[in-house]
Amino acid sequence: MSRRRTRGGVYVLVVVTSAVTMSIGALAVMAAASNREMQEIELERRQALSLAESGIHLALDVIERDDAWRTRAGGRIIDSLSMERGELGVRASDSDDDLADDGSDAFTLTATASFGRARQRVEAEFAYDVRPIEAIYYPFPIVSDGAGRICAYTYLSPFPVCAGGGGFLEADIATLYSEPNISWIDQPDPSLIEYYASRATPIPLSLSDGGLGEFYNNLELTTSGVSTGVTPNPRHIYVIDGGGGDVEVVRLALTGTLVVVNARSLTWRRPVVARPGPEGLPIMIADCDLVIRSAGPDRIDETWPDDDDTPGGTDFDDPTFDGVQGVIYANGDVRIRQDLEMRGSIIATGFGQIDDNVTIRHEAAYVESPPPGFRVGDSVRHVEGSWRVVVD
Amino acid sequence: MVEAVLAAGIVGGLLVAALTLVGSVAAERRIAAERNTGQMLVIALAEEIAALPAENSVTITTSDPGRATLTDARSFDGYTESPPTDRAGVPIQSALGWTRSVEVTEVTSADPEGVETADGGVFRVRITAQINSRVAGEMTLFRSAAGDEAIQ
Repeated sequence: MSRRRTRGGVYVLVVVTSAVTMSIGALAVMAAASNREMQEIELERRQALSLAESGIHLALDVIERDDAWRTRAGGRIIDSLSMERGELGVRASDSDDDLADDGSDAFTLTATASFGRARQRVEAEFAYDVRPIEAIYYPFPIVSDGAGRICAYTYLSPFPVCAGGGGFLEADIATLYSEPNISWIDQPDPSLIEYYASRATPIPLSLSDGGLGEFYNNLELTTSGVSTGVTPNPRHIYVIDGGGGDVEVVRLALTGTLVVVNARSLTWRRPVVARPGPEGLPIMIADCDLVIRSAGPDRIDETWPDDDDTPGGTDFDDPTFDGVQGVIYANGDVRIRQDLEMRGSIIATGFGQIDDNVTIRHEAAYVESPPPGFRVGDSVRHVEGSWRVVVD
Repeated sequence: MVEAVLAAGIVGGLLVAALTLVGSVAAERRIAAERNTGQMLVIALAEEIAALPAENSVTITTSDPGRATLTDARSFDGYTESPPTDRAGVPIQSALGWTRSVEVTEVTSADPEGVETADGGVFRVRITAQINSRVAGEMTLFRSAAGDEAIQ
């Protein structure tokens, strides 16, 4: 063997040995780096998750403070908040893909957060812990103490409440005030008037027949049709502006809600027949004194799909009942001057007087699903078991 | 002789390169390990705080200096510990030499990264972990009274 060949072999041996050693070292470094990267990604995942959970907290605060949150474009409650290496967005949605159609709809918050290379999505469903205001439990909770409360004395007897003349006069109130066992309950907040008025379609003054004050005759406000000149309201809510005077409505056919504002008084004369619209809203909201003069029941012959038979739903649409069904609210005194057959509640901030035979039967349906303004504790509650981390 | 010198040169060159690589890898690894430790420390405390309400209506006064007495997110404002400890107050052995601190600021949900706002309703909790005065871990979370009411 020549020395030249031996010399070449040494070079090859040195290079190969070095290359193998370098490769092993590089592999070890790469393995360590990969392990570190996995640790980092795991840490980033946990930070992204924490950020997404923070997003739910932030969104709930936004929802509490912004009454119009349901109208935000695309349900974006938090739109791309950046911090450190993270980014966060929160959207709201509901089952009918229309957040704004019903303020009491349950909703889902979806928080998406990214941190470094990790991305996490958290979803949680929320519903309203709604309870009816106590006044709605009673058919005729009217007697006020002038401080936003009403006296429960008038409805201690079992339902239905029936009065054959007399009723409560102002003279009786002093007696009531001296009763040691009187219980007082909260009334709805008068701001409900604005709530309904702002959602109502105006009834033109041109439909008034004139006379002393505004006088509306044969006004039709039903789900099947409205009087000529009135634009149908999708939620069946209509408003009359009384111009500061007296308003009188005769032969009203009402399936929905009639709001009367800026009036001294509202007189509602025969036939006194009304039913709530499909949403189960109050039938009458009067920002004034209310006088009901009825002379025999009549019937509104309307039907619509009864989708309210689910638990918690409202079911006012009894087609066999000819009288008034629903809730009446007056920010003033209420006087019932002639026969009245009613299933529901009359709630007023002033005094109540009943002059003739009246039957008001309590209806459990709107206690189960009270309309806006007649609820308390509209607080948002997390639906148990709905909190989940979504893996894309 | 020439061959031996050349071979030794090659091996020497490779050795220097390898040592340089090892040195830089070791430095990078130390930084990465610090970063991981820092992140782990802030995440552990963040997860502990996240389980608490934003603000308790009841203030608990106790002589116990540990954070077991901190029962809401807000009460962690100004909290500092070195070395970091677990919930029971036992020092974390792998974090000796570290300092972990918390800053809580009441802000609004409209501007969660903004300045202190009284009655803002949202608490921004910023946790940092430092070693040798270097910030190696940092994390922010938010808690709100509205969230507490709805979730807890």
